[in-house]
Amino acid sequence: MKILLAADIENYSYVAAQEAARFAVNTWADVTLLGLEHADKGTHEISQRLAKALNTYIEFFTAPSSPFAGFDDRSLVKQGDKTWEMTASGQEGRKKLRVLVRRGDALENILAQTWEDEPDFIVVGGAVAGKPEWLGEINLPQKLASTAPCSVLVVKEKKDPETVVCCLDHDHVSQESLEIINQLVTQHRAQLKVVGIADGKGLAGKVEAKMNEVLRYYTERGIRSWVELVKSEDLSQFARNASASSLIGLWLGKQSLLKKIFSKRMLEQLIGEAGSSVLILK
Amino acid sequence: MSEQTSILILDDEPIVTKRLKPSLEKKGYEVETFTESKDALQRIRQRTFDIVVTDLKMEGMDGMQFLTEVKKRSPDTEVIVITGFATMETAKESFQKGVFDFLAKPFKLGEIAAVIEKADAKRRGR
Repeated sequence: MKILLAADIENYSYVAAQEAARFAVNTWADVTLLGLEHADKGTHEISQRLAKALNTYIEFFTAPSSPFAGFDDRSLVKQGDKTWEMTASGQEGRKKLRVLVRRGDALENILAQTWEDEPDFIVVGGAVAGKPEWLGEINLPQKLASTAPCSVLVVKEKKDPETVVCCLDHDHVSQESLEIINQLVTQHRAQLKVVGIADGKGLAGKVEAKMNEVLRYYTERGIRSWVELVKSEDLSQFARNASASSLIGLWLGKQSLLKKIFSKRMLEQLIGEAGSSVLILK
Repeated sequence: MSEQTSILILDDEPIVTKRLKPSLEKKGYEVETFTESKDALQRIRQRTFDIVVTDLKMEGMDGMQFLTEVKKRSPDTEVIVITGFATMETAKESFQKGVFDFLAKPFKLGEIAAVIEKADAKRRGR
């Protein structure tokens, strides 16, 4: 498994780094930590604040018992006009931790790194309303969730949710997304609720069959799970309520009706208002 | 590849074995796949494999018992664990039992191919 953690110097990135590290250490994932800095920093060395933040984030990953143990004598080496890569010695760990810095447009830089690394999912921190946002980019996690080619986990707080709620409205669910949910449920020792979205005519046959298949997939693997039906017109309210205490997952695949229900504005609102983390599954 | 490297893959999800087998065969490996641990167990009693890739959580004999059996019968076989339910405990236990690497699902074909290549290089370097 590969994870891309995108982080700046703000508190939400600190929390996202803690959560990403906890997940990566348990799953032995390969990780790219991408530090982001504003374009107005010029072409000189990266700021002390970002360097300090990155070192803090690296510590979350590199405890002696971790698969990323080591990572000493760190040094950021300029790779191009606006990119740096960290070199380190003593990497005794079995898994790869790559640390990079990109300066400039945060969203563009995260997407560029995503195309390069092809991670299974991206982890970003979500700012609390009214607090500093991603290098001046309003709603960056929301925009990333809409545009990224892979799943995106927007971390809102350091908490183990009791339930992972996944909303499903179409019959195409990728194996990768099922497996990401497995790992999250295992990590948090949570139970799983699969929510089907019913329109006026009830749940379409194909979706109902897929829901049963998904439910069987998880119960056979010993995950406590159940299904619930929600009317499409009540979904955004349901998702907002659920996101107060549960980790909420939305399957926003190409064939998804959720994409229509959750217009870009509503998705932005949900991620912005969610009390807990939100996982956008692709 | 001078001498064909043999690989046994055990995963109760047919989608995993279906994806891996053709891709690894294309790279020149000899691959046998199993979705039932009892069948895989029977096979390792008949012959040894250079590399074994096993899931952990399965019906019947689980992957941890299976890899223990593989290592008992053939200590030189390199074992790679793949799991949809990774924890630090299962990873540690796997390494204590001598596995070569531990991969959490999902993974891309390129990732597991790279790990198999490393395991093969280690085996050939002995």
